[in-house]
Amino acid sequence: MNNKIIIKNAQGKEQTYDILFSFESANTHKNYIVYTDFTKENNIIKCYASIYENGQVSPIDTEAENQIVITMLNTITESTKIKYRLMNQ
Amino acid sequence: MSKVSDIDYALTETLKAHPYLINQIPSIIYENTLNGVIITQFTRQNQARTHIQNLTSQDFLEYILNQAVIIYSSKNHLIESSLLSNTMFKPNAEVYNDSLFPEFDIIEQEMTLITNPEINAFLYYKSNPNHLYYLIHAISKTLYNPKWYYDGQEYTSTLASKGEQFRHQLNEISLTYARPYLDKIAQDASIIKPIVSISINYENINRCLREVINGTQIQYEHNSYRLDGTLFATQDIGKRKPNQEDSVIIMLHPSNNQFKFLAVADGVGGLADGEAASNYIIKEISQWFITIPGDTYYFPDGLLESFAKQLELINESLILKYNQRVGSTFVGAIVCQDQTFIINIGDSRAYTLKDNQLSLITSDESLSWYHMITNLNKPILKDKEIDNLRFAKDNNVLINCMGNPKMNINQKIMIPNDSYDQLLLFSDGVTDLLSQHDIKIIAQNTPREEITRALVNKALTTDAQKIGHTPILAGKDNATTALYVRKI
Repeated sequence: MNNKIIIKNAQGKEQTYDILFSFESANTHKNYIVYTDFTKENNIIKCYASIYENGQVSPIDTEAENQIVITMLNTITESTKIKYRLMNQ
Repeated sequence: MSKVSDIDYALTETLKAHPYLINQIPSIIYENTLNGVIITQFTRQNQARTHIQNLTSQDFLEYILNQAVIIYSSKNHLIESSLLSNTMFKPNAEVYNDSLFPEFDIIEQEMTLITNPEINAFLYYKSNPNHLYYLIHAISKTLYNPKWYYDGQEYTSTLASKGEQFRHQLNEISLTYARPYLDKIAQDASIIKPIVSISINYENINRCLREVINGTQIQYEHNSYRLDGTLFATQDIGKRKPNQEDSVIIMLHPSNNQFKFLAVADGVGGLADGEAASNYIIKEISQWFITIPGDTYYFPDGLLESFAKQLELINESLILKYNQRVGSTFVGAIVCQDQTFIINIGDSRAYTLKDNQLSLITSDESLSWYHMITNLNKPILKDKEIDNLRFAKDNNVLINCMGNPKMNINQKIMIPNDSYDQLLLFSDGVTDLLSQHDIKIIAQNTPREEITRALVNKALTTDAQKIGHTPILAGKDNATTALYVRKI
């Protein structure tokens, strides 16, 4: 698994992010990727999630998918006792 | 019959036929939960075997979570209820004793995770196998342990009789109480079942590793890390040093998170860029650990030698990079399935704690240590003698350290994992201030999450005194402690 991913922001500027984890869902047949630049807001690390297919990222479609990503993020980072929060891109 | 009952039935029948398997039950469940069913481990009685042959690791995990909920609910229900005087669980003090609910504190602690709405219990236990093992251990002790006590009598009837009676009662009295928790587990299962695969980047999630790799750890005056519920580290710049020259790492192997590494390096004071040296060593050795195959955890042949070889290579590159202007101690431990491999260079230290026994398992490569063992004409020092070392004038003079072209790796140590409950690594900023007794008392009597913090805090706040000697002032040096807690 790569450690980093380069993503264009809304202004078209490329930015490098660190990948926290990725997973594949049999229900939606999609791959999801969760990443961060480790910048903080109120001491909480800001994270982002996208659908990842064929080297391209696209926004997550539904609130249900978003909730699954949030639960997975909270679970995977629980043992570190560091707060992460999923942000809208 | 539900899948959960299938597992229970198979385990009970297995134990009826082969009672000696009792001690293997936790590992049988553990292996099946992580890797899927290995039917041959179960009884040869076909009836039991047929109950489990189509089960998956997910089913085993569901079994564990449900049993935890039922045991937890039962005890709490009993405490709250006075309506059960006719059952075997009479609400008197005997009911709540350790015999009937052994290791209940583990179940209670894990239930805070299982019931946390922000956490998916299935994913949590898959990605934190240590917690899974603790939980399985506590459940097995409760359900399958053949010896138990009730109303002051010891029962040694076949363990299955306890299990069957117990589970029946537990189910009856706790079902209503347990329902919200069981619903939460079912919901977690529905979320996780469709996940085909998951890849976790532990390197990025582990803040300690990230700060070592990007070099920011040494910029902070105080750091505290925890990982996996078993690894902890705390460091502080102290009161009298301008820079943080200690570096510390706690980490899990990226492809096998039971495989652990912890290390402390103390940049040598008096040499320029001490902090750069310690950070460089810890960073390089951590990146090497990532590259070791994950199954080395099970097959560690040659690991200690390659660990030492890697440190020699790092020493060479350190010398090239900084042209012999830097130095650092190093103490590091790799925890495999059955053994732990430790290397020490310089005067940082590794200790083990087992029951009441604190043992220093490394030797200081310092002049004071050398003089002490020469004068006493013995290689092993008593606690009092170790305590006295810190007051010797030549205590801080190293006779071996990294950054020196003549560095030797003299201490390559293997210890069996069952020889310790806690493994502690220190820079001398802690061990110069704390006596052996101080370390033991704090490590024994502090909750595991707070041990490293408490040890460093003591080194920052309490002078070390000895009659006829100048006191060693609290916070005189950077202070770092790393801890691996093995025992539940």
